[in-house]
Amino acid sequence: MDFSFNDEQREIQASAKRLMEETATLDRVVELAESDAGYSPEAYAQLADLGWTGLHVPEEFGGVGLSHVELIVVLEKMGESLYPSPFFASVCLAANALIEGARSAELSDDNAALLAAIAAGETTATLAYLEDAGKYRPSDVHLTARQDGGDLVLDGSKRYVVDGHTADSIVVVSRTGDDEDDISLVVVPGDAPGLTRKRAHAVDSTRRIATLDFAGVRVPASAEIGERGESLSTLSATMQLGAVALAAESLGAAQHCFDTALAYTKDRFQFGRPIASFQAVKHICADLLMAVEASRSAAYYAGWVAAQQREELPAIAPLAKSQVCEAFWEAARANIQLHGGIGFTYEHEAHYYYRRATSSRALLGDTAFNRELLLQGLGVAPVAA
Amino acid sequence: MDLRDTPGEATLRSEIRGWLEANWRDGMDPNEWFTILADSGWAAPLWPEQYGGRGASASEAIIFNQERQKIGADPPPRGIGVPMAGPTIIQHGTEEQKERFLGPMLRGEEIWCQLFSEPGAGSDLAAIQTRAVLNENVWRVTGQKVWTTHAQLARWGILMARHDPSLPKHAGITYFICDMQADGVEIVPLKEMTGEAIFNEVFLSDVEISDDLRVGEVGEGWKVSMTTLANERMALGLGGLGGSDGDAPIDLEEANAESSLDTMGKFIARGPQALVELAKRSGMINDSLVRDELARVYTMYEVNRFTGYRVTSALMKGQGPGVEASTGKLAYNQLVRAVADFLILIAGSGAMGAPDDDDDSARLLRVAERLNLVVPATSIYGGTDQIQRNIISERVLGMPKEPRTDAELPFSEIKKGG
Repeated sequence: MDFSFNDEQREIQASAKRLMEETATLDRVVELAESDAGYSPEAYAQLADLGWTGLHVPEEFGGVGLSHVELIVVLEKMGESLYPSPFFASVCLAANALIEGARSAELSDDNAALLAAIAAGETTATLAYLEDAGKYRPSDVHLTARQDGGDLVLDGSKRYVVDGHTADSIVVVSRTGDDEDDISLVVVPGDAPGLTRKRAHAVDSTRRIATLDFAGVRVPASAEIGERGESLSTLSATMQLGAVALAAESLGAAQHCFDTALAYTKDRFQFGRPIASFQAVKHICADLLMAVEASRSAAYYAGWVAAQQREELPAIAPLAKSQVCEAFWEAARANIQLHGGIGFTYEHEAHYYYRRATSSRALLGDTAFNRELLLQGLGVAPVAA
Repeated sequence: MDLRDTPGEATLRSEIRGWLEANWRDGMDPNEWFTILADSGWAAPLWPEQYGGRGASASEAIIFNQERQKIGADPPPRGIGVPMAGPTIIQHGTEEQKERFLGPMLRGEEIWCQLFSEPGAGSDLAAIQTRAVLNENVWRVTGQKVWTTHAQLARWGILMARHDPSLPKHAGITYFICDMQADGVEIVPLKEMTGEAIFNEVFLSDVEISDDLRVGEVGEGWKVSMTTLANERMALGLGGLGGSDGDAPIDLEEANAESSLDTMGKFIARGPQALVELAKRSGMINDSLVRDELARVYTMYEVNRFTGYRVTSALMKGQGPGVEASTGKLAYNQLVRAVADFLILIAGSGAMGAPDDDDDSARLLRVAERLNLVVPATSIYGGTDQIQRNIISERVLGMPKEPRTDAELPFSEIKKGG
């Protein structure tokens, strides 16, 4: 048994660390966060050159053909610096919808080409699931995909779509019938006639969200991933893999908050001694270490489960997501607290992590929701009265 | 990253499995089994061969333990002998001591207990006041020890005593092996808040200990005790890291017949599935708070299991356990507290007092009541949670110690109280 990264994975880790140090300094992150696009296309091209946009995409679709373990290595490093990029939405949501969809039905030529283009970093994409209810539940999907001759016509709206205003393509979770599980995944170009995209206010400016309105948006039937109305299991798998990815990203961010806070307690003197020598401070740090290390165990195990496509993924993915996002939240709050007044200023980086923690905790379902998913993944369903 | 066996580990596993199948029989006499384990070196595989171990690698020891649990074979003799006293004697003891004590310890013929804590020396263990006075190669020891498990069964005790109160407190301590059958040793069961008496008080009145039962040099007792305590933390910490006894449901009647501490240990070793089953049977599985809490506790169990894989993986590669091992005891305590809290949650009004009815729901309430009453012990024994956090922050995170007022003073001049 070996629960550590192999040489190749450690190399990827080292080069991810280097790239983040070069391209994602705090000043740069803040600059991008305040820019219109919200990310740097040049920096994204650098990721693509390294092969990371196609890291876990199978070779038959133009990817590198490595696994989710390599993917989480990169994500953890991105999380450390809050790296703003279309990576999460494109590679960890949209690409997974296509890869998982291809397991049940062959991808259309257009969709296969889209996956290859995402893998090559030539295009960006996202997944649009949430609507007004703000719940990741099939029963709350009301946007319809109606068949009209050889086309599909989409009507409805989507909210909280990560990178929704900039993505070149959007995988839209759509309703095809009245049964709860009549769900389709339809790929819509970002510039499709009838689609209105509006950047929405985001508490975390390093991760943009958008509101999308679909008014008679027409796409060919081949834009659909999988069989018509049969994509609920693809959607579930996509959400699980997204949760594994988000856990890894949040682990890196939590570790950064902890490292920063710990270093500060050793430098900051009050009452004539470093505040790190006070037990009230030490115990907070010991608890943070516990939370971050527990999260590391969960995030890495989940990465391995995803890579091996083990049957326990439906339980382990939400377990890891809730564990790590809670720890990140705890670490982000403690980071502010341990910095004292300076930690509450806009100038200090701490609030960016706190904002990311707030947003990531809600993204792909909050902690209560993911705990319920865990029980369902274990087969512990509510019992009918 | 791959949690499956390497080809080498798989071969080792099948060899060990073969040995276990050839030597273990269900229902065999425990003493016969202990002897087989000791003779083969499997009672303490990590110990050097000349002291009765196998000089085995961590992988061998881990795989042996996993396979032993799978086949349902009894563990080696319980108590503090093999995990704590043994490694201390091997590291600091004389050849005569190793010759005399290790064999019977491994065979389970002699049980050991720990005479460290005192009423005035809990978290501040170096504040012990038990006195040892040397007179012509014989020490006379007088004092009071507390929280001693198995004192009434033990043949030997590992003992910390103060040989010189005029020295600073850490420097004045010497480490001994105490004959529990000697004159002047009085053992009084200590009734704990659960109503049980798992621990004892041990009163030492002019107990004679020959100087050849001293472990380490005079004045090195603190250093020697660090070996014992590091092994204790490791044992307590690893206990929570998924040394799973499988996921069979817990027999509530059987659980209620054991000591509360044993019941608690069983809930951790069995893993979270037992808790899921109890939640289903409680009739509260549709309650959203119960579901949220169940998932939260389940997550804690699983995360500890995954951390256990990290520790195991590091040990198997011949690396020391890292950060994960230091946090193990605290993680274990948080888990047992969460388990007890969850059982109390599903007990509802039954938490006011479990009925003595002879049915499953009453038996569950009794388990909940017993665990809830015993769980405060875990965050105290083996170093309180607060001391654990000090250890983690100082040794792992490199945070400075609190300034101390007592480290350099002669022990006799330090203020004592409480």
